[in-house]
Amino acid sequence: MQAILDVNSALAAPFDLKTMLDEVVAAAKQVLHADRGSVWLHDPVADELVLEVATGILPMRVPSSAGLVGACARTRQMINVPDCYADPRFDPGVDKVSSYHTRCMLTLPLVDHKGVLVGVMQVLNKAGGVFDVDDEALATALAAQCAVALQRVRMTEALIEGEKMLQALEVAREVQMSTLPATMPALSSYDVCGMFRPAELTGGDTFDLAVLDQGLLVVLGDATGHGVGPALSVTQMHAMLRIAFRLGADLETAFRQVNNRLAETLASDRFITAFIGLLDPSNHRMRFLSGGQGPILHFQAATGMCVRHKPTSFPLGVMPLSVSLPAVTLEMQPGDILVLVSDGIYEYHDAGGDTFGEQRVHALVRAHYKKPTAELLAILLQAVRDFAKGAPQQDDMTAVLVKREALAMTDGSQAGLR
Amino acid sequence: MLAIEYGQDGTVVIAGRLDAAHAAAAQSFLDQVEGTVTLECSRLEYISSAGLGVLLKTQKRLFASAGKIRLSGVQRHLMDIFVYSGLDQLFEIEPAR
Repeated sequence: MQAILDVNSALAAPFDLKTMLDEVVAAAKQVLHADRGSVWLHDPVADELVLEVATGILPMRVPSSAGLVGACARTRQMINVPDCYADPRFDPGVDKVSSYHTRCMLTLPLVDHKGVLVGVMQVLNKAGGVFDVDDEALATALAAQCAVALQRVRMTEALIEGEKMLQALEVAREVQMSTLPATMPALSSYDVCGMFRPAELTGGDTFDLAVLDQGLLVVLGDATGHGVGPALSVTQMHAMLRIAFRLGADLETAFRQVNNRLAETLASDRFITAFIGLLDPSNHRMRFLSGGQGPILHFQAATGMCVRHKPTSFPLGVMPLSVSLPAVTLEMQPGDILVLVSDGIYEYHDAGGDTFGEQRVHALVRAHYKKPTAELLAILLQAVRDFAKGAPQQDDMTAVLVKREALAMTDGSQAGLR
Repeated sequence: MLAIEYGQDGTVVIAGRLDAAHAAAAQSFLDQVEGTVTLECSRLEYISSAGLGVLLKTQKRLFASAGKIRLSGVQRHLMDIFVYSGLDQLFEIEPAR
């Protein structure tokens, strides 16, 4: 009993699989006064038994029907053979490989708590005799502990694999986040900000705000789905747009070229909705193309109303465009705000299934349009949280706000605002 | 829940929620249709971007052989989804009366 408890204690230590199996074999040899021991692990995919640990033998594989080890795996019964070479089930092949003579052998199934065969343990050549009934009892207790320890090691390894996957996702998140503007661009007469909050570690949305030769680039994109795959697609689009504009492309050409490249590479049920705009701060004209990204809200300070614009075309990547599509122009008057919000905000569900909706966005913009865009965005996010009442975020949330500053009046009030 | 089946007049009747959870089943059904097909949507309650992807993939396949999907009985809230995703430009849509 003490020997079994010692083994139990030893097996509770945090091992990797190889160390743990070495420990089991060493314990079995000690407890049962055996000369050698081995553990075979069951590979359910190949339906083979894999000799992982054995004294004096290199790792090997056998079909799970072969020899005494196979018979034990099939029947899940302990087999005590006092004279191996007299038993027709005994496969002398291992002896030949290891130049060893197996005289007597105990073979035990290792079955986990769910009744699944995880392997087979064998102990060979008891010192001074053959394995008896007491040895069988001891070996059975040892096998039960071995199976539990084996299961624990496998779960630990699965957890470690999960942790590695998590670390890989963290890296993917860092890469994706690094493509977003680290700081908001400073532009005379304008106040801009953007936000991306993925539903998972990575997300299918993106945004961009950058001062280029062509003007202020404004992008909000949303690839079908969320997670790693859409994150790769949308990050690819983000990068292609930056490159196209850096190479001097105009809006229409950049849109068509990026669309056509995505049409080649995306699966036929995938697409990216994207607003792509260029603001000329000298004349306050925002020219844009929107592939399936809408509604586009233009808050007009002069009227206090949000004007909705539809996308200019279907989403990017749906099919190639043979000609460039004409851009639409918005006139940004003092105090006007361009509001781009992804469907992860519009369609945020509360616990009862109601959605946040467009009207709430309109109302918030109308109520807080005088505030800086960063503050307006914070109010919007807080409103979504209040609406959700703890309901989890199901989709990526992204927003971009571009506000033309109101004109300062001599009396301290602002022109163009009611 | 999503139900998709042939109606009595040869149309395809779709009902329920066409979202990510049901996209594969809908795609499997629509992969079998040929020619020009009317998808009767009056009992379709919701369509997600994954659902739009199913319709888009089918439309692209049918376009290649001069066929298409035509949507009928589309509820107003779903009409908004097609309009604000720009996909109304790729589908002939008859709104619900």
